[in-house]
Amino acid sequence: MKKKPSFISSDLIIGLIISLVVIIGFLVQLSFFESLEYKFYDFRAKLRKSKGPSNKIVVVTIDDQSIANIGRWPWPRAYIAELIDKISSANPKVIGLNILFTEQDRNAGLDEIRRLKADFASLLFKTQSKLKSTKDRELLSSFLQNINIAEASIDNDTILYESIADSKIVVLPMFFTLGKPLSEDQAGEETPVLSTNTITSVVKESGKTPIPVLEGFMPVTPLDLFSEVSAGIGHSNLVSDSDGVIRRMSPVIKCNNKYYPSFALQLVSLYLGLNLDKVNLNPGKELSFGNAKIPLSSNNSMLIDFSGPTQTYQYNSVYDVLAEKIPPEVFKDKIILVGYMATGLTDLNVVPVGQNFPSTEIIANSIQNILEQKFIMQPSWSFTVELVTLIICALFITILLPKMKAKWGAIFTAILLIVVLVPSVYLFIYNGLWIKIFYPMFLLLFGYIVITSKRFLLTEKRKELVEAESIETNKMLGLSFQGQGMLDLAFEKFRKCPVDDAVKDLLYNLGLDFERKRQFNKAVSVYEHIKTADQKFKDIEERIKTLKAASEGMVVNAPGGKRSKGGDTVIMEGLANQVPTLGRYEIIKELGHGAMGTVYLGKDPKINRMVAIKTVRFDDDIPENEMKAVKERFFREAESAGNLSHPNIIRIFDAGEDYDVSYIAMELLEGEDLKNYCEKVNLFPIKEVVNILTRVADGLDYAHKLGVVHRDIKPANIMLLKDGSVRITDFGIARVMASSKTQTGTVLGTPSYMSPEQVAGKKVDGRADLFSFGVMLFEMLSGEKPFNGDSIATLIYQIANEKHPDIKSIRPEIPDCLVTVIDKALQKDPNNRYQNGKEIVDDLTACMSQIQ
Amino acid sequence: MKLVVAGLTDVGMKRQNNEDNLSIDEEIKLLIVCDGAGGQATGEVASKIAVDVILDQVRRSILKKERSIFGEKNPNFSDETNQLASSIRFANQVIFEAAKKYPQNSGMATTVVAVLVKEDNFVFCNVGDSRIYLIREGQFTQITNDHSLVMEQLRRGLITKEQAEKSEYKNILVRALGPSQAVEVDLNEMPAKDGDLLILCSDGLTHTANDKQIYELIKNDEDPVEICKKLVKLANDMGGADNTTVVVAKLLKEEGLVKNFISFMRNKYAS
Repeated sequence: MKKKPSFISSDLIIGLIISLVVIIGFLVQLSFFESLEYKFYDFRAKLRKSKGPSNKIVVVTIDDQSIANIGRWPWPRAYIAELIDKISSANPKVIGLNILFTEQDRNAGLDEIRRLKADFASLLFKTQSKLKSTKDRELLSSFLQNINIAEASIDNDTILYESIADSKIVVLPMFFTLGKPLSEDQAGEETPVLSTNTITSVVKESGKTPIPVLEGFMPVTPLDLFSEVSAGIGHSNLVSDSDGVIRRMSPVIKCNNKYYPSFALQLVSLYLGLNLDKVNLNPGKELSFGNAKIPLSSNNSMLIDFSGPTQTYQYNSVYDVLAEKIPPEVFKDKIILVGYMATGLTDLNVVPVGQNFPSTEIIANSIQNILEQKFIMQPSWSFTVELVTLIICALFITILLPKMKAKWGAIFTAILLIVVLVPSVYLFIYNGLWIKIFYPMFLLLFGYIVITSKRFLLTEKRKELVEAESIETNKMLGLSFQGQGMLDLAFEKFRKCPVDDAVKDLLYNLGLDFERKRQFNKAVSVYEHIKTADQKFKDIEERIKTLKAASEGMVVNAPGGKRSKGGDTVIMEGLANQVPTLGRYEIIKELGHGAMGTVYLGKDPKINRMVAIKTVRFDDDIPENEMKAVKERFFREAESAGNLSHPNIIRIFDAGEDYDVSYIAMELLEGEDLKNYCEKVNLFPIKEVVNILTRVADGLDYAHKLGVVHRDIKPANIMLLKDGSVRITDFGIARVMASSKTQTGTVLGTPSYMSPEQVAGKKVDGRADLFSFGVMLFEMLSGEKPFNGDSIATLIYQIANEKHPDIKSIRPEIPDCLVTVIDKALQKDPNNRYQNGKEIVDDLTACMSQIQ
Repeated sequence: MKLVVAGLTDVGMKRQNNEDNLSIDEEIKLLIVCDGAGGQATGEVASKIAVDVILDQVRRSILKKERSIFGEKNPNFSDETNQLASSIRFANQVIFEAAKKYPQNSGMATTVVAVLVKEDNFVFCNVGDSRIYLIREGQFTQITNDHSLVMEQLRRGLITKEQAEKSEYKNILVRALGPSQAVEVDLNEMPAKDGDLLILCSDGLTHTANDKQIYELIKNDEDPVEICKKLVKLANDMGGADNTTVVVAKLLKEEGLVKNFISFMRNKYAS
């Protein structure tokens, strides 16, 4: 049957909608999809082999141990100064002090001492002239000296300042507020300190739309005091993605149209001995200095390739450094990162490889990436590849998937998933290349689920529909039969319906109908059927009781051996009390009933032979003269058939007419026709078929020699008797009767056995029978008809014009000699066919020896 | 469309029983003609079942809005057409099972032609060799295909029209309700025009008279009752070998409410 186009197109529309949503999501980077893609990124990042910490970086942390030993944070800045001094003495390359000192140290003692000092200085100034002894003067000035010393000893800022200045290699952090300033005021002033820390060598953006680089404003810098003597300052802003996870570092931040390096970048360039003016920035693309290159994504960030989970780097406690527990070689020529790690002090970040990741270690990882020149990158071709993959997947779910069977759909979806997944995971893990695969995967999976579940739901629904329909159909059929008075059939149909309230009513009415027809037993079974569902439905129990009593009475009074045959039993009418006869035959009983007439078992009383009597009713609407001709023809055919005396042809004893009924008395046969043996499951062995049909061909040859043509050779007209012998029946008669039905036609099944000349309405001779014989041979060997067009029109066309199929294509073991027989018997032109049955008998006999 | 309809069935001159059946339902505007076959008394059983079941099914679908389709729905046709075809398939099922169950009914079959008239079109189905003719603006056309072996041969060009009329397979049907569980129903629909005349008839008419004779006889008639009488008489005059059944329907445009009212009043006062 034709496929329903509506299903296909609705699949197409669903596929199209899903594809469009995903593709648009991909193009505008919808945060829903992006955050899921990030999850997948994290998954892949965790799979990446961790390469371990860089040996060029040493992390020193203000940890719980230090705080326990030194005291509560904030410590006097003198301790930091001491730390710097200690580290510097070990000759590291550069120190990154990731602690922001934005305000002056507020120190009550210092303020007090300064006030005292000022008082004392003015006192000294006033009293100096009055003092006579130099000793006193010296005493006073030495006291001032002491105050100065005391002041210096608690002036932490100065101490730190001196340490930073002495060290010359300390880099300090600063912070920006990320985003674009709302006004120029808000952008913050550019201090001299800031201006010395900018990247000047910037490739001009090539017009068009400006690249959306990361911008910041309101820089928060360390005290100028410290900044001025530091080796450099860099921003230590961390950039998180939309889902709050830090995957990237921004080597530069744009502020007031100037680019400021990051803390990590400063450290690396100093480590490499390069000044900031050696750093070239190509915004959105690349940042290079010396031979090092940092690939930048469009917002000027680099993806950090984490070298492992938190604490991959060894954290050296500040306390240990101060207590000189760490040998100086550890620090020599290294990059030293100093940062917080103590509980409550450090800011803990979420990164792909773990949570609670301190920012100092993120910086360490960034530095390591730059030093080792290993990054995670989105290759320049990634967008193209992603889009193409997405379109392929879209085409798959829109066009191919709806047409595939469930199994193949699943297999192909899985294959596509693997094709997408494996290379991208491989590239990420081994080459650090990030290709977005969530979109195509989502499209595939979601599309697959939607389309298959839709299909599932539809088939479920259709199943339900069919079931409901068949119950409904049965109800309707039942009602129709009941309306026609065919109560048995109606009951049969109602029985197939579940007994719900509506059906109970239907059944009840049917029971009443049975009662009206006085078929009490059947009424009882109907009521009992209702009882299986509802014991107390209406008055059925009572009815069953009365009916049972009534029907028992009925049996007693029933007249024995009633016959309810009506209509055609002409013979019976008026002869009820004596043995019915037809001609000289006594009718014993009815054997069968066909469209053309009835077959009775009869007895020839004269010779006491049992015969089969076939009655034929000619339609009474044929014009009289025509009727005469038809009857004449019928009896002529019967006569010529009666002249046939051959072991393989049924014997006709007599033909006659009685009570307007024409009849033929013929040999009584016990057996069955060959119709059943044409079905594939019931086929005879080849030898047996040849054996039976040789005898049929022999019979045909005999009849044709006497000028009798059968005209309707088919398996239904060949009888196989219980003793194994074969009879051709209905010689010549079937067709006469068919053609005599002038008005209401016989309903012909399919004229599968007709010869081309019969189909064309031409005159026929014995060779037509041989064609039909060929068809039968073909069918009995293969279980298929050589011409099997599903409509009469095609069938007629096939018989007239088309060559029959090769029987070997149906049943390859058919011997060649039988193929030859079939081919010759099925020739369209009678002149090319077998000319008589003898030729077939000969060929089949010859063949028989070959089969053995 | 409004219907003026008449139907007549006649046993003919030679037969004892009438195996034809017809049904006219003016409420749902359904016309059916069935011609039973199968020897003995069973032909009339088949045709009666067909008429009863089809009428019942179509009434259900139209009046009770029971719209389930029996068999395969043909998407090329409207719901009404499918409903009519479904009813016919259903009737086939009933006849088929009845024939299987009761030996006295075995071999019974029937043809069917059915027309359902709608607002501005009519739908029709047929199985077998009963026919529907349409007379529209002086054109006389058979709008159904006969499902007889001869017609197939003719359509294939295997025989000529003359040969067809003499063919020994003239009355062999290749499709009918009853012989098999599945039946292929011809579906069709046509826009209706004011003044269309539909003639449904069994082969009692068409096998005795040819199209030209039929048309010549009735071309000037307007009254369906008159036409029915004339056609049955024609068949009987030609020998009346078979039962003849004719249903004639004239389709008239339904006027608007106001116009109807005016003509109603006019008629009332004119008389």
